[in-house]
Amino acid sequence: MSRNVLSLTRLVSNAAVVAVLCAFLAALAFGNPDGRGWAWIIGATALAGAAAQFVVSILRPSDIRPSWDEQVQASHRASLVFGYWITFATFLVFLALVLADVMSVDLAFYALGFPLGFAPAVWMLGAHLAGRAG
Amino acid sequence: MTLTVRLKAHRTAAGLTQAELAERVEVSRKTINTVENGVFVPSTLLALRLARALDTTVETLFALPEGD
Repeated sequence: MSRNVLSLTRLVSNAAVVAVLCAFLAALAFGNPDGRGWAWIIGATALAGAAAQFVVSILRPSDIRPSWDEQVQASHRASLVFGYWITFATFLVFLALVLADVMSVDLAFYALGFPLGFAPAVWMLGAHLAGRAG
Repeated sequence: MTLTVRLKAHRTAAGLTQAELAERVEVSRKTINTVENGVFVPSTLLALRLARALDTTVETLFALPEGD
């Protein structure tokens, strides 16, 4: 476990986002969840994580460089590439669903935010657990 | 292509822990660990900083395998 508080905060932030999104997926699987309510929960979790990392960066500036060293930056770049391809693949699926009149264009647009936020967080969480992200 | 890494031997010879070396070169301890295990190949800049922190050369810490 890292002693770097900023790295730990990032780990908790990513884990929280992944946990909330998994809870949303479970809610989707077992019922018809309130999408607007979940959007607030997911957004608030992500913003709280970002705010926490910002505050820790201010309070512990010496943690910033080790927490964002070149290995972490490489993992972060990989997470964004992963997010791009997952989102692109999801877009193709949603496009097919919209063209088949199974999904509305509005829903497809909002739902694309899901893989966009989920995939990089999952990658970074995995990188953390594999010792590749601080 | 694999890389021969002798970082751990030089670090322990210098009497440093991974955390102490990490602090000297301003990276995380996990990065030192992955570099030592050959999981992560450091940039030229980090290799130079590691060499300087251990008072040696980059070629001493990292080398191409024989025949490459």
